[in-house]
Amino acid sequence: MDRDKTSAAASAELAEEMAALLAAIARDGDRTAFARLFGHYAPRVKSYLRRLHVEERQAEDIAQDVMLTVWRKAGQFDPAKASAGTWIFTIARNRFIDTVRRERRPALDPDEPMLLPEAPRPADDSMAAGQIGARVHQAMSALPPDQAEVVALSFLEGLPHSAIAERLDIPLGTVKSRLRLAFGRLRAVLEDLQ
Amino acid sequence: MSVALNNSAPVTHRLGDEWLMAYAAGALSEGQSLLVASHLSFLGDAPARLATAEAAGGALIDDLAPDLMAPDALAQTLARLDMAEPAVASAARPATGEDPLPVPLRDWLGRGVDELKWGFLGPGMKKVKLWRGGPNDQRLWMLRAQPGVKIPKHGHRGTELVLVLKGSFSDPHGGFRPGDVEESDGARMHALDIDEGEECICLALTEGPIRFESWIARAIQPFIGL
Repeated sequence: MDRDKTSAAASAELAEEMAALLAAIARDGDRTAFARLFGHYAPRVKSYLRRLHVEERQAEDIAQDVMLTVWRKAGQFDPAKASAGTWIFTIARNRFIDTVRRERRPALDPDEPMLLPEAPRPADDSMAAGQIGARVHQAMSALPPDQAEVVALSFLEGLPHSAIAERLDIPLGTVKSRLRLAFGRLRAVLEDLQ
Repeated sequence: MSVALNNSAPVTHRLGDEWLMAYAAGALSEGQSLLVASHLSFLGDAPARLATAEAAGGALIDDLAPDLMAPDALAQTLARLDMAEPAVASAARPATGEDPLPVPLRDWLGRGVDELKWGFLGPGMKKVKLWRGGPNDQRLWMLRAQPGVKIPKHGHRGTELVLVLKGSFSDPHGGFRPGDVEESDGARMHALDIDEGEECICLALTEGPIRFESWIARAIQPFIGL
């Protein structure tokens, strides 16, 4: 229990620091902040790409490119919406789809006229940056192992549902319901923050 | 409760959250991603829900054992920070007008619904093939049907996803309006009735060729190419 609390506090602290680094990059073009952010995330982005079976040289190049994009787009990072890790994950995922899978995957357009206006967010407070990261972290580590397994196979190996079913030798419907359950838990944890 | 701007009714048939998770994970094929992104475009809470699904990816990346970067990786990247961002030629987005295509689909196509090369599918029905690939011989295509048309009973080898973009249809599983998706297991044969009133345009993702029940439909099936 105590260990959980410590790790939750540590991940909140880390998430807050990473969000502060992104803010410093956006505001001042702070290279020292960038170097620290790079030291933490570039090796993890590379690790993620290696899990997706990207070969060493290309994974290195993409990880560097992703960090360059992080530098350029730091101003678009919104700590009230996502943790730094989540934001960097989406950049890495999109770059992987573009350059490795060579697919055109249009993103949602926030200006889409069909999208309903979002519910107003609470005023931006400095707590949010660390809070979101820590809560998600907590929810993910509390997932039952069978749910955590399909989430990891989905996100870290990029496997379609049918391939997960084959890999684990379970019915397709079970893969789907485990992912739905995992999503429900994340949603419940994040709901009162959004 | 709020209502989409250009729809008179809210979306009642949503894709399951497992699709949202797979979309966030980058685990969908190009065709599936297009259909899911198009569907999400009709849902007001999609950005928040997508952010939740993507948060799972963020937490996993945070927990990964870091890999070793090249010794000069940081120096190399720092040296590139001052380089001007390469200008991305953003394709001019076609005017929306009355076009029923959601932005992700219109961006991908680079044109509006009337500029597509629609081909014959059956009496009162046209189709246009958009993409083919991914696992299980996936095909992404659009259907354009006149009001009142009946689509004969059919199935597929795998999952069939049908997203309504305009108009509406009914089948034994309910009524489907713009933004709604019907997900059916290929083994289950079903017939669709296009509702009266206006034409119906759907985006469909199917796995394997269409299997028709009636011999007449089967006879023309080779000419359909779906």
